[in-house]
Amino acid sequence: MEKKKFAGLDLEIYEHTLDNGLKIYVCPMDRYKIDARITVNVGGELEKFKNGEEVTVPFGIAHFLEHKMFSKADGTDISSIYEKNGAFGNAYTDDYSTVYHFNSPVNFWDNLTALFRCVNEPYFTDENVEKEIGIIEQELMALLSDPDALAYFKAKYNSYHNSVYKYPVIGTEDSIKAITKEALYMVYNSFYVPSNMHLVVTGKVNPEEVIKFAEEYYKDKKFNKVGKKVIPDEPSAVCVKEEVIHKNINNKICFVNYKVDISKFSLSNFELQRYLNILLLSKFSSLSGFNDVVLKNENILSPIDWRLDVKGKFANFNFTAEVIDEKVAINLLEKQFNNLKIDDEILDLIKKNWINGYILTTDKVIPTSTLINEMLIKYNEIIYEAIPIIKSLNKEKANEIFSKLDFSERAVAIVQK
Amino acid sequence: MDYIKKARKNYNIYFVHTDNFKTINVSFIFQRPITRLDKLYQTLLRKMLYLKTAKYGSLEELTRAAANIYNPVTVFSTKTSSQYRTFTLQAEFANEKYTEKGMNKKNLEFIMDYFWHPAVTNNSFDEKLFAICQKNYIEELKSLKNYPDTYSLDECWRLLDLYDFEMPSSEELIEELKKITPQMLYDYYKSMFTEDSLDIFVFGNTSDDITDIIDNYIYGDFAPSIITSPKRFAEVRAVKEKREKSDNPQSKLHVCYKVLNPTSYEEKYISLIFSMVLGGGTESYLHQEAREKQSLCYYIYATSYNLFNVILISSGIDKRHTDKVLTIIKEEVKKIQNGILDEKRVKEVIKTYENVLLESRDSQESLVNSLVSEVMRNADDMETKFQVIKNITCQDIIDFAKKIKLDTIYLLEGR
Repeated sequence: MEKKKFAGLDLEIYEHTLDNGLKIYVCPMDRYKIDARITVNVGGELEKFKNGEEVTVPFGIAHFLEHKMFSKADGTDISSIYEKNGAFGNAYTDDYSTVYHFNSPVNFWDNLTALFRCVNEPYFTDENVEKEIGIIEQELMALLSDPDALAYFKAKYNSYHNSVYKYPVIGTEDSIKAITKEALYMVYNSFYVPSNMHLVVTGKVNPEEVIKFAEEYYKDKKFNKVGKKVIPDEPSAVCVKEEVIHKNINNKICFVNYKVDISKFSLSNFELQRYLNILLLSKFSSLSGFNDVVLKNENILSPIDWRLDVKGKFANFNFTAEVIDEKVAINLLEKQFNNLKIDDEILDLIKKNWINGYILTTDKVIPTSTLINEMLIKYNEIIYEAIPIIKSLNKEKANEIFSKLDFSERAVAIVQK
Repeated sequence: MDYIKKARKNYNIYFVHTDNFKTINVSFIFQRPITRLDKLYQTLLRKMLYLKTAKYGSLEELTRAAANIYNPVTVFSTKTSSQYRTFTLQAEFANEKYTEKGMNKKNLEFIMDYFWHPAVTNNSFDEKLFAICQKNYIEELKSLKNYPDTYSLDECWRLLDLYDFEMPSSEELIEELKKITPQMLYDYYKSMFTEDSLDIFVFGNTSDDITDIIDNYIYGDFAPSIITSPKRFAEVRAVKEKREKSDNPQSKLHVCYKVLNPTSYEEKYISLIFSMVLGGGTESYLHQEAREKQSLCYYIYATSYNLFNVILISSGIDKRHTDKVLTIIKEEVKKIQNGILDEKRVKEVIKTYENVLLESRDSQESLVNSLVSEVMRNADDMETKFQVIKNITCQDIIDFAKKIKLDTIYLLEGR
């Protein structure tokens, strides 16, 4: 067990890897609530993988698996254990991972046992798979009722040719119906393996006891080798440049995704993503005056929201707004992209923002747990030097990176009447 | 919770010293008896105040000034509590112990500037800025139908007839909004200094001298503080039903029960425990029956609005299942009314509630909300809550269930 410290924050983390490969991270905090989460490195990106032979599974299978892992052969529903203990427990799936979690101020060991059972005891039958299809279809319908989600899904779909990132993590109506218990077991046996998972615990706990518990739980348990995901080649160009979707809504919604290849940069992922976020903050946040321009524009009916979404070797710069004329909004974006240079003043303000963000985040159990887990998912390690790295970011490097980014590929999705 | 109350001539400050957090949290809560268009004026005002102040003439200048003092998180919110309307300015910022000396004062003054020193010219709000906010709000109201969860809930809430006036629809709000001028909004803003009460809550690891900064900065001849009591119903009315069509793939069903003549104990505790037993979480009766046993929906849950004595049940369903889900809701309520209630389930819910109370000590925001409820809504303090919930019985919940009456059914029917 190794004790590490987050520089600039009163926060320590104990790291340990079990013999079976499970990585454990415990962050003691003097709070009532304890949060624990197990992350499996498999998510919406899964379509093809090798574990011996190459296998193709329906889109959305990782999310489906997440739903089914709560049911056990003895009739137990893991959610009911959490509820009986007065805990909050749930799970979610994103493109890269499936995260099972609970938080509660009491019954920690009982809940932790339930969490370990949740990811280690599969039980799929034709009947329980069939029943889940109806529930997940309704989850998909709820998403498709939202015009913002619809625009996002379409822009994402049109941005990619071969990659599974085209599809929603939840899958499509057809792919959900195609999921079988055999496919679920195949994915489970290939990816729900300790060396493909990590455990994060945050709160008032003794790290040694957590490690001892995990060692005891896995004693005598054997696992397969981890499957190897097959990631198809993806060209830099988007698949469809523009598409209009008709839905009975009042205001037109415009979603733009710039697909930018970032594989040429040799910086660490953390540093590179910080610089890409600096680009967005310096050019599209209220710090830049961009929102003052948007507010005064008659053709744009809402603020332009944006976010960075890195998928494999591509950075996706997402923008969305309610508009009268989408061309006006896109021209404003293009104008900003044509002048990407930044100065020291704005860079310093962004750094102060981020440092404050870390201080606020690490005051609470769940945000701290999320911060640690997201670093592990995004960067495969905890960035203990995050604050010193942020302080060291400089305008010369930023301007050099910005000058090498190519924003010529974009997919536009419009939802309108 | 231990707090220092500083009663000033026209307002109260509540200070809580806590060394558990790296941040300082401050809330300014304005409150007045509700009238038909308060929501409209307050929302418009909230939008205006965010965009510029007397000192910082654009959003860019304001944002940069905030970033320069480590970016306090400042939020204006508005809400209806029973027959009152509250307008809240809440902010959280890093304690200067973690940033730079002098930042606590700078942050507090910056936050108060939003409300006490807005951008005003010739005794009115800026016309151009007003036009932007008015347009933005009109578009927001027009778009409401795009978002079936929010729209359907708003429509259901209107059918409940909770006020002495009819709640305006989004179309009516748009018409009213078009009539408002910058001068009218400024007059409303000024009226807050005399017609609203003001209560201020400060939490953090600092001395209570910090409240001097507030005293030295604010002005206003505020009304005496009000303690809000719940809206009560004494009679049953015929069930109101409304079905509306939409082209969404999913239908949204809302079913409301009103509570007739509850006791204060029922309002404070049993209403919440009842709604959790019925539709809170995956072990609730509604979730088990409608989702787990019959696969009829993705979600179904019950919420207690104890300041209105309303229990709301919401579900996202395929339209083919509407009648089945409606039947399940009525049957599950009926079962509890008939005394069919699992003691184990009640104990689990009480445990969950105990945990929520325990965990609220981890969050400064939860502690603020708890103290606000205590001093402004007459809620019990944390220790009393712990004691009372231990003694809740199944019979308490059955007795309460007998007092709830089906009042409103609203369906936004999908395609």
